[in-house]
Amino acid sequence: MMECTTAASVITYLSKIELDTATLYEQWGSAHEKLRDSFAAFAKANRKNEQRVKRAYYSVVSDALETGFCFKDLRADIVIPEFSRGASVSDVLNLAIGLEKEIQAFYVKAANSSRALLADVPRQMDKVSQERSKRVEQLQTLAASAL
Amino acid sequence: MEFGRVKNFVEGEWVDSEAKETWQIRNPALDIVIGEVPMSTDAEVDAAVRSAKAAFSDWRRTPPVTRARYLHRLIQLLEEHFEEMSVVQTKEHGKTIDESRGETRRGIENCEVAAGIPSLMMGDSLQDIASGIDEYVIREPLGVFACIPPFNFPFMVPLWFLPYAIATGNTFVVKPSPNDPISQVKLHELIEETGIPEGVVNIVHGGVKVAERLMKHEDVKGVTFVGSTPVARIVYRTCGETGKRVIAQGGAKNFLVVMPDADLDFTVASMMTSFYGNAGQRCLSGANAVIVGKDDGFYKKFAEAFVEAARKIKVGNGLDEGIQMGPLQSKDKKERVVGYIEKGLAEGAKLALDGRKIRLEGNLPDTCFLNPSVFVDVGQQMTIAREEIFGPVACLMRAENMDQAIEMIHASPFGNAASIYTANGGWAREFEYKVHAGNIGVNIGIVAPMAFFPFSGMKDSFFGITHGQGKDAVRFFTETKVVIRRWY
Repeated sequence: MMECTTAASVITYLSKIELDTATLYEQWGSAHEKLRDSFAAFAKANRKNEQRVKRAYYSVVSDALETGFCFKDLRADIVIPEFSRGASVSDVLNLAIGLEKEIQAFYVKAANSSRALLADVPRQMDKVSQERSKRVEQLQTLAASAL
Repeated sequence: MEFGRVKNFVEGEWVDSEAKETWQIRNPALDIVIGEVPMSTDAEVDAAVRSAKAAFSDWRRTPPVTRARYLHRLIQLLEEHFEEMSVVQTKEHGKTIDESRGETRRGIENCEVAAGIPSLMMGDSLQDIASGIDEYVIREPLGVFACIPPFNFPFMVPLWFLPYAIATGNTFVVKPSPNDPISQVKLHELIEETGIPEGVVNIVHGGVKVAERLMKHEDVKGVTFVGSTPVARIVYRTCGETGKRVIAQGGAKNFLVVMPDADLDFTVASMMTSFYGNAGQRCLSGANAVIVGKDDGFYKKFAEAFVEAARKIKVGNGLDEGIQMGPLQSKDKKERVVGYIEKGLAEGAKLALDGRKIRLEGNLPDTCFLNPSVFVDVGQQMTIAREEIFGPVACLMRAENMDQAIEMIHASPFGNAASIYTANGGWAREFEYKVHAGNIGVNIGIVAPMAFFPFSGMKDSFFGITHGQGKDAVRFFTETKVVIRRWY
């Protein structure tokens, strides 16, 4: 998997992850009435996150910042599950929990490795990561109620 | 040719130059021709200046708040075309897309600051300097200004000046670098789209002859130049002889001082950008890293970490978002850097990392590429420690203490930037206080002033009085008129 070291590569990668995951939530939501509202909200939040991180980057990007060297040991290896219409609610929730944990871990790592070098971007990543943490709890609650 | 033959922009029209002599504009990463730039004739230079002069009278009468609105519109257009502007810079210069976006953002920031001109341009007044008599000072524009920017920041550097010049009511002629003039053409297409009156901004393409004609032109009131020190001296002298205002920014040899308490990981990461960002082609680049202390272990550890980080830098086409360093802007510039590496070796410096051994990401011609080089145990008298290399070459040196490091800095004729890496506030303050350089960094590798601060420089790095950007630029582009008034 690709190692991300530059700000441009990380922003593009996160953008793809957020948007692909938004689409997946919409597909899952349309397949399961029970998940529709929560997953629609997740999809909307993903698109907002995509804009939020991208905007932070485009606002602070500068020839003086270490944009080419700000990330370390960061691998673009999050696997987004394929949508399967036949998956049960419980399967979907488990997949979503796993996915969210992976994305959250990526945000945490990205924020930590760039904290001193990339001004506002790690701050936004922290915020997204905190929201993701809450989302995992929400998904776990949904999973428990689905049992 | 992707961009064809670029045109001059005069009296609000894009016009073909009649010049027979042209330069190729090359994409240095792909080593292909992407455009052609004419070496405009004397008559064409004169026409550009005439256009600016004719526009001045109406433009200076345009209220500052109205002039600022053109800049607001330009900012909006630049945001809409942000990516397009950035990609052009990478294509014509070779820098990475992150770096080009950084350049675009810096350019926009200068427009944003200059858009505050109704406040920035205000004068001062005092009632009753004597009973019943008031005195005030107003700032007035001067007329036509010319800009001669360098190749290393083809989009941004003219924007250190242009927004302030026009916001204050002057008119402007830019002669872009013939190496990479396309981003200026794109910028002026957007300026044209703002609806700005004809002749307020103009482009005339060319090389040295065009620059000389602008500098000597009797209708040009001032010149801004950014480039090498020898040329900056000529610009300063020529403009002085013809009574012009001038900002002439020259070369640099920037020292980055590493104190024994510096955080190694952070310092090395920050220094990679400083030494190798823009392939080392910037006047704020780190050139000499001075590691302070008698501890051989610390020096060795730092040098190893530095070389290892430099070795890992991904070099390739800047349009690939994973690339950390692009090519030099041209084959000539690469050869010049190689010449310095050879000189360093001949003078006994130890080359710990040889950037002449090209390792590229992707299948690219190596015509303009070098990988990062690191010289260790560099002596202060060596050519590579003294002269501006303007490429991806780092010189690691040692000093016993901070005072010795500062002496080394002061021995250099340049004074553009200097940085210290430390956790000790006392050391940082001493450094900031003592060092004779225009831009001082504390745990900062590239001390690039924001648009609302002047882009400083001292000694052989700057010739002039006021600087580009912010309030300094407003002062440069205006002259003060004092009025003393009483009524019967």
